[in-house]
Amino acid sequence: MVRKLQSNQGSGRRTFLKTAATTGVVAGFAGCLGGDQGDSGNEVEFWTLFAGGDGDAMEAIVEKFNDEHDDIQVSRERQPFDEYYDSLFTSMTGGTPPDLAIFHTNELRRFVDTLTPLDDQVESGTKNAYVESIWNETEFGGSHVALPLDTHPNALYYNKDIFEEAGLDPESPPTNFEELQHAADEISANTDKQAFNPEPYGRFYTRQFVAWLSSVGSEFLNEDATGAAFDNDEALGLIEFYSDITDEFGWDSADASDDRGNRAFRAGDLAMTIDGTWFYGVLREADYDWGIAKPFVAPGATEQYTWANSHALAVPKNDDRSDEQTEAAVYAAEWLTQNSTEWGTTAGHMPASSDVLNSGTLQDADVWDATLNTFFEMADNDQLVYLPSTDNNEDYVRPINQTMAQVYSQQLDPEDALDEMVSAINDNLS
Amino acid sequence: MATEDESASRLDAVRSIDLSDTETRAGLLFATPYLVVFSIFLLYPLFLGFYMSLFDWNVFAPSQSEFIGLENYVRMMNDPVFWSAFRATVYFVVLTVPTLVVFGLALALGVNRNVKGKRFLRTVYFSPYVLTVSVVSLIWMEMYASDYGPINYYLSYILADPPTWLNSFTWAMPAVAFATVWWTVGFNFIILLAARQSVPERLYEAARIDGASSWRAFKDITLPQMRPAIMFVSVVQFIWSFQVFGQVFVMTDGGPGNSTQTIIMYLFRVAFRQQDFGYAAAIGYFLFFVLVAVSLANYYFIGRDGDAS
Amino acid sequence: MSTRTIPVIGDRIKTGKQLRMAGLYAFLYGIAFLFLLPYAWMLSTSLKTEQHVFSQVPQWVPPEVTFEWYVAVLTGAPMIRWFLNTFLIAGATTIIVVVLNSMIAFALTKLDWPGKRIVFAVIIASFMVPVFANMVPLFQVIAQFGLVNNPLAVILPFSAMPIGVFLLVQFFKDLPDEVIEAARLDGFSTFQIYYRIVLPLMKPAIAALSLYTFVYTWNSSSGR
Repeated sequence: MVRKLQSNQGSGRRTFLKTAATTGVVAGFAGCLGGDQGDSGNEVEFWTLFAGGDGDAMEAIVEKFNDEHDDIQVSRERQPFDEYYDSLFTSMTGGTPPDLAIFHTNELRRFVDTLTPLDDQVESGTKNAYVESIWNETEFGGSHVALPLDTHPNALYYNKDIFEEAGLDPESPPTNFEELQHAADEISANTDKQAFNPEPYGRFYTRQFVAWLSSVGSEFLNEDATGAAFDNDEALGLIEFYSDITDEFGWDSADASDDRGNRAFRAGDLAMTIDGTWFYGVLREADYDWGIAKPFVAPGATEQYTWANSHALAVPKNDDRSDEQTEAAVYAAEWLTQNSTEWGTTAGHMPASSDVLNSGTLQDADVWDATLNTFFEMADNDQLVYLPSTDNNEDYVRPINQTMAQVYSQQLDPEDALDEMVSAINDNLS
Repeated sequence: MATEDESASRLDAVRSIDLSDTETRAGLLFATPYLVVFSIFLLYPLFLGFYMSLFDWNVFAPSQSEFIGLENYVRMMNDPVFWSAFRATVYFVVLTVPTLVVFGLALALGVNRNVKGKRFLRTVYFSPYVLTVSVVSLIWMEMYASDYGPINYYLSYILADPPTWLNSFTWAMPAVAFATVWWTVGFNFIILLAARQSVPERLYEAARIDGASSWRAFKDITLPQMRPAIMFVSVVQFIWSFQVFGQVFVMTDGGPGNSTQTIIMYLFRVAFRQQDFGYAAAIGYFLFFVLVAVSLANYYFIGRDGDAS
Repeated sequence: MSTRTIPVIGDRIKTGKQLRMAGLYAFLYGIAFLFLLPYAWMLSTSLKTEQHVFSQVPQWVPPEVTFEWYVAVLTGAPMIRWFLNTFLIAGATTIIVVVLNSMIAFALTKLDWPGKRIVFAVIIASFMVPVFANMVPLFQVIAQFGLVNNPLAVILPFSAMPIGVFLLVQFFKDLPDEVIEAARLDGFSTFQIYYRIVLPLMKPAIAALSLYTFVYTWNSSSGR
């Protein structure tokens, strides 16, 4: 239960599920039971998947919007993270989508036909309001279907207390593989803590793996995203790294159980892990000192990349919605994405709005020195890797997550793992 | 499902409906309300589903779906992920169904003896059944957690290297099955207890006078008398276990690998993640036929025998 | 019997009986204890503060009690509205299921009418329909009836489920036909037989079905 409450967008839980028989039925129909769906034309129904610190931040932003506007009111409805896209999908097929909804930019493609193109809805200058690289993530086939809210990359988080205990300098985290090796070996030798776990949730291996693939110089998917392009030695080396962590290096035990590293880091039992911007909100209450570094620690890295994803707001198509209502939704999307200071200060994400990002409020806030400046630098240096958008990202995400978990828990050897991933992805995408 | 009157059942189908017969009218009157709801909300969608399974179904624009005949079924036969899901499901069924029926029966017979605290025991055994699948899964994920869970903490006194339960190829499915037993055995327990309580006590008195051992009484009175209830519980359990979804979805997400991905979970992913409703409908139909076939076999081999004796 | 005539053996049998009774108690209460452990763990976890939630050594009694998680649950979402919605849906479904299922179960077991075997066979067979597979077509049916945005969209599909018919038929079958015949001779109408004889006699079965339906509907429609 506790974990459920703590859940955030990065560690979302497969919670709140319904029984097999009726999950979909209810998910689909439940929208109708949510009470007033006024047709008054000025209430914008807005679906989000945020809980924890993210939820608080979004609530604050929406409240501010509602305070400042009399003619449009946004009614925020939070859906459970793990079912979010399933619920959205059902609501769309049932013809009752929300007026406004959060999407991860790499999930947009799957829904692109069911979203309102925004090109005619917003001013041509709107693009200048956003950081260009993030704005580009919302474009599909020359048309923009969403307005970006943020980007949320991964970084290396480390526990300074453990570094000290191991006789390491807590102010100089590892910046490359050799330094990681040194630090982790010292920690393993001098403390009883776990040294390093690259995937604290045990089920999102794809994220950093794909970024590190770029770092070691391998493509991930072929150009038209119809097959895997990493059947090579660089990728194998990377998979072996994951395997070594729990075997040869002995930095962690061979266990990819759900959420294990996240708990360990939060409990102060894990020295280093790789996690996203949202971890700031979680760690603020930690009773130890922690720090953050760029996660460029993969062996054999020739370039420096980290994983990132981006939240965006889109307006699902709905034939029953009036033009006025659609305009209201688009207006709300613009306002919410461009008045997103709390999204940085409370939730720890990097806002996509240029004004917010460059504002004194954000740069003077605690979050800036704690984490955001590091993320900002990586974004500024073009070191973010977004997962490719395909018709169904699960086609490649699931094979990697499942296979790498087996590698990490020593239930599959790296060569077989590579073969399995490549053939599963080829099968699914072709 | 007794076959009291074979010939009548055969004639039944051809007999014309005579509305002047009051009993016929009453029968139809009493049956119709349910049948209306049943036909509209279960039967009709069932046929619609079959229709969909013959298409490359476009959920957003059904009228633009492409008719592809039996292609979805052919694809299913050649889909290794489907067969892996089938095996996983059968494994789950084998692990849970006998356990749930026998354990439920043992609890029911135990509580039926004159023990103190009957009401307490009944409540405790039944209580997990009222929890939702997400709560059950969360509870057991905590229990099984390899680093911070209580089970492995105590096991580590006995075993040097306790299993990582939900992360282990060997243990993931048994662990889910165990949690399922905890969750649902209360249903079987309650049904079987009710059935045991309705066995006339005089039968046992008569047996006692005849000097029958308690084993004989169990074999010759309890089991035959409870047969319909045991049948019911077994069939229902079989059908539910075959459709297992929520627990594996939450607790393991089908992993490690695809080792705990069951048919319904795969169907769910095909429908909602891959948006391939035609194929999902085909998988659903396959499952339907398996269930019907096994239930019919069950009826012929066990049900018949029971009526004859 | 032997216990009376040969006291020595009788004692042995008695001890044997006591032993078996002790074994039975150990079994029943041991299981009950194991059944309660997961609850205890969850309860204790739900009362722990953040830093005690993940502890290497299991702490069954929280070193520091907090209700912050409960507050978060109750304030974080419109719980009361969800609760009421779910309660109304589950209640309405239960009533409809009990009425419709007991009527047809009565017709199937105690009335003779042509086609009833076929009807029963179809209902039983439909029990094996994986409800999930039926969901998308069901959705289209709901839309056709214009029931989207209506609680009936949840209530009616639940009411169509055949398990209740199956369950009640099993119980109704055991009701002796003589009882019905006797009532008929006393001048009871069919409806009176159903309402005044069958329903009261079948209270336990109906209670079981109500409980089952309510729990099932509640579980399936809560969580949102």
